[in-house]
Amino acid sequence: MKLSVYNWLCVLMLVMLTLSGCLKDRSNKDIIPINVLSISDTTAVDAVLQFDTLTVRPDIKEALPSDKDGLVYEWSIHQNDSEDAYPVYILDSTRYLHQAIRVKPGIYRLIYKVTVKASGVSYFKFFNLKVINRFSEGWLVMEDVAGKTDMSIILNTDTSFHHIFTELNKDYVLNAPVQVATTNFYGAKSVWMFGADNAIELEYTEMTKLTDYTSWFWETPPVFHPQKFRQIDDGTNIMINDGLLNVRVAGGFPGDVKYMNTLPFPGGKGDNYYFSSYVGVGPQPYTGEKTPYSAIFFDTKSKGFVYLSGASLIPSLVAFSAPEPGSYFDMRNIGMDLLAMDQGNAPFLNNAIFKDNSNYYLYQIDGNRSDPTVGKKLITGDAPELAAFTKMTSSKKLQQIYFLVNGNIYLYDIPSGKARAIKAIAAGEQVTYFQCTGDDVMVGTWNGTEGKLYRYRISPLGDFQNVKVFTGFGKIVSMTYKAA
Amino acid sequence: MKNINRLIATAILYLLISACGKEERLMYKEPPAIYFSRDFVLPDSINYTFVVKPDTVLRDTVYLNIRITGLATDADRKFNLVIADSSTAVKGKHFDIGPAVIKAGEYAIKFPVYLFRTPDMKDKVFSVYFRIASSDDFAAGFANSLKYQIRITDMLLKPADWSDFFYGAYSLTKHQFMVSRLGTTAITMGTGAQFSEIMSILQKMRVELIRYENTNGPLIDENGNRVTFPAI
Repeated sequence: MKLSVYNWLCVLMLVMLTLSGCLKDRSNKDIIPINVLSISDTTAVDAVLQFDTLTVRPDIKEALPSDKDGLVYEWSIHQNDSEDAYPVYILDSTRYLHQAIRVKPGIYRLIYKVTVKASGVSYFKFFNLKVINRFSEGWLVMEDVAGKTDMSIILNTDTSFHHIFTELNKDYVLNAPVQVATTNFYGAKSVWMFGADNAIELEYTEMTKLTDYTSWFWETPPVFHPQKFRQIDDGTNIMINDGLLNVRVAGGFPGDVKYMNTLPFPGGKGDNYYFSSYVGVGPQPYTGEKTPYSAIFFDTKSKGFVYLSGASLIPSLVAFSAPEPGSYFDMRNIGMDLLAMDQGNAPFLNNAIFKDNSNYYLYQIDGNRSDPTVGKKLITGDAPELAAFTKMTSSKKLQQIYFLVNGNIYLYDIPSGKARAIKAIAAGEQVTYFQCTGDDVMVGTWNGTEGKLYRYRISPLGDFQNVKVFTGFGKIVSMTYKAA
Repeated sequence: MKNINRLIATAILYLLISACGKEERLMYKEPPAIYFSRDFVLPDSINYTFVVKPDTVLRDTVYLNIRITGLATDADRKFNLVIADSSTAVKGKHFDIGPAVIKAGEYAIKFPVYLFRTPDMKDKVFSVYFRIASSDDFAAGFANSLKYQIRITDMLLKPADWSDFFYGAYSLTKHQFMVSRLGTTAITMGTGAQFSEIMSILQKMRVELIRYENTNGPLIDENGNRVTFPAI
């Protein structure tokens, strides 16, 4: 067989490659055994409440035992339920994890990284972790802390967490707190916070700021001093802003839904009115109730009531009819200053306290009666001490009213007209919040440095039978219950 | 065998060399043309009203979107923008236009049409019909994109979906009052307002009308009726 030049070249190349494999290895590389780690764990949990402390104690097996400084630890966490870029939070650099988990609720991956210093090789252990909303249900407590707003929550376990607003909204400041409220529009829940000249909406689960009031109106009011916000039925919010009424109606309409411009006062007064911040709520429209008085307002200029008619496509403020024979008073013309009003012991019953010179009157208004006047009583006749009251709240179960008078809580019995002191406020404490919620009367106090909340449980006869005290607040301004 | 190898080597060599050939590009070879650029937000007409402008505004400008086909050139080119005889707006009185030129290097322009506010617009709507025709530099482009209409007025036209239920009986006086207080002609869903916004507009109009009447007395419309807004 005769080999061609090409074949000779191939043979020559193979010979050269074979010979090159016989060269002596003169490199300084060597195979040195390294410390291989094996990480296992039986202590981690699958879920943790937000702000709870998470403890994980993994077991590390080392192929080559090292001293305590031979390993470097790192605990980190990142969200694992989003396709968006997620931040990685470094939690700690300790052998074991024992840290409060402050990330927002969601699905996360917890990463344990152990690096062998000698070799620089890192070993990982991954844990799936669900961070659960701690604030799903409880009492939201709005506080004034040196003129700024903060908020606490009291869980149903009676555990309270403070500074949740400032903790979760570090970049936002809300001045001079006015009111906190929650709404549920056909399942869409929100938390609303109102300050003296601003207002924001919080995401219901995460409690972080979503929007502010400038996006809530079709035409943002030139002056924004919110006094009262309330959801009066499934689809209607009302807001009294600088004495004027704005209404937001939702419910099956196409397009965006926002607050309407100021509603005009009936009788050709336009916007020449100034509502007090007390709102009486009547029945929802279209539910077979007896009246169109879906909400009742008191005008401090005309010193009379008007109502928000819910029985129309577009709500309007409407004047009450002239009093009927037997009416206790003329809703259109009370002629006195309204000092306070609160829901009484029936869903649409409102107890209003008026002052006429030195006389104080209780007017009872039932929004579910065509003649809403259901009672009138001179309360300072048999209970003259109530003339010095500064706050009131009505029992939701009995014909009774709690008055705060000179550091004492008085229980006023409406049928008998008698009042008696049932509780003294602690010396040095000033009451900043006073509200009956049904089973309890919530009393927020301020001693100059700390706010306290007393939750008095009401006995079947209306007295206070026990108290639970919560401490560590700012000056309590407003409260609302946040349902799950 | 040796011949087969040579043939294969020759074929491979030919393929390699042929890959180096210059590509003949597929180029646009049609004569240049011009047309009104239209899409969903640029329809073939526009309604312009001075009524939402302050009284001091006596002229304004609207722009026609015009595009060419073919390549831009390094010299200015003229196009033929014809004002149809059917136009009721008078050039020089109600409107005017500049030179119809596509400048060097440009593929699309916003062609300005200057509108003039005149007293006769208070009760009339004037129309100008533009049509693109062929010129020395451009052929007329797409047949369905050669016409554009501008309607100019200083008055309001009743929205087709005006609802007496919300705003009461229509009158031009009421319409003008609404637009002057709102600063927009979007008062119905057909004119751009949303349903919730209509609720808001009604409340505002009821307040604004009372303010007006407190200063000026009742607002009487062109039919001799007092302007009112319903409380629904």
